[in-house]
Amino acid sequence: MDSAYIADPDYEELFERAAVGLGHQTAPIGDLKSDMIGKYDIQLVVDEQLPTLMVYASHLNDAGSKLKLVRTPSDIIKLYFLDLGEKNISERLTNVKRKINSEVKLTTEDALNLGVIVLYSPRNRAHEITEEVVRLYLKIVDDLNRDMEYTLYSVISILLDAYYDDEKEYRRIKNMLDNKTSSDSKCQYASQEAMIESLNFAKEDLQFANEKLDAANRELDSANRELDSANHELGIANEKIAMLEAQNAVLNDKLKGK
Amino acid sequence: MTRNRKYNKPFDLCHSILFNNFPAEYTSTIGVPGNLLKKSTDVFI
Repeated sequence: MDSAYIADPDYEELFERAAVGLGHQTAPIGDLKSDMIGKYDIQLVVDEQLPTLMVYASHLNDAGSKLKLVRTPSDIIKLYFLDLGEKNISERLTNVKRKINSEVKLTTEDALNLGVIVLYSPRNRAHEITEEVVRLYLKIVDDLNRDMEYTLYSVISILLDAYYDDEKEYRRIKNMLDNKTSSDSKCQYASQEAMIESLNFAKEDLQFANEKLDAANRELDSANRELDSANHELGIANEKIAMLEAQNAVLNDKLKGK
Repeated sequence: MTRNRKYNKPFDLCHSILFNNFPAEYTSTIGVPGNLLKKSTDVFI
C-alpha cells in the first residue's frame, strides 16, 4: 500500500474504530488499484483544482462500513491540508533520529512516531525505513514504559510480516527486535496474536458452515422444484380423472335413461 | 520462495493497536488535532 493514512475526520461516525486513509491519487487506476478499492470502501473525489484524493476507511466492520462512509466531497477536500505524504515520513524520521541521537528525553508522540513512520512508509522504501526504525527502537527500548514498548513492538512485528517476503531477512530483523524487547511485552503480544489467529479460524469455520448451509439450501430448492413439478403432474392427472369421472357420470345417466 | 504471512490486514491491525493504546496521542501524532476536527465538521453542517 503506497498511500498515507490519516485519522478519520468524521469523529462521530468513524473515529472510534476506524482510520481513514487519505492519499494523492496521481497514478491512473489500474487493476491493482481497483482491487484495493474493492477491499476498502474508497470514495474518489475529483476536483479540477486539486489532485484526485482518495479516501478509504479501514477496519470498519463489513456491515457498517458501506453505510457509514457517506460524506460530502467538501469534508474530504477540507482535510487536504492535513496531508501526510512520503516527504512527511522522512521529516518525521529525521526529527526522531536527531532527538534519539542527541539523547533528548522523548515524548509519547516522539515514540509513537516510530510506529507511524513504519506504518506510513512508502512501499518502495519500506525495508530501508523499517530497519532504520528498528535500530532506533533498540536504542530507546530500555527507557520506554511498558504500554509503549508493547505497542511499538506489536506494530513493528506486524509490519515486518507485511513488508518482508524473504524468510531470512524477516528473521534477521525480527531477532534484532526480539532480543532487546522485554519478555512481558513479547508474552502480551503472543497472547494477542493467538487471539487474532483463533478469530481467523472462527471466521473460516463460519465461512465453511455458511457454505454448507448454502449447499443445503440449494438442495432444498431443487427438491422443492421437483416437488412442484410432481404436484403439477398430479394436478394434471387429477383433472384427467375428474374429466373421466364426468364422462362416466354422463354415460351412467345415459345407461339409466335407457 | 515467499514467506507465509500471518496477517491479512496488517495496516488495519496496526491502526487499531496504535489507536486503542494511545487514542489522543496517536491522533495528534499523525496530525489531526481535535479542534480542527470540530471546525471542519462545523463548517459543513
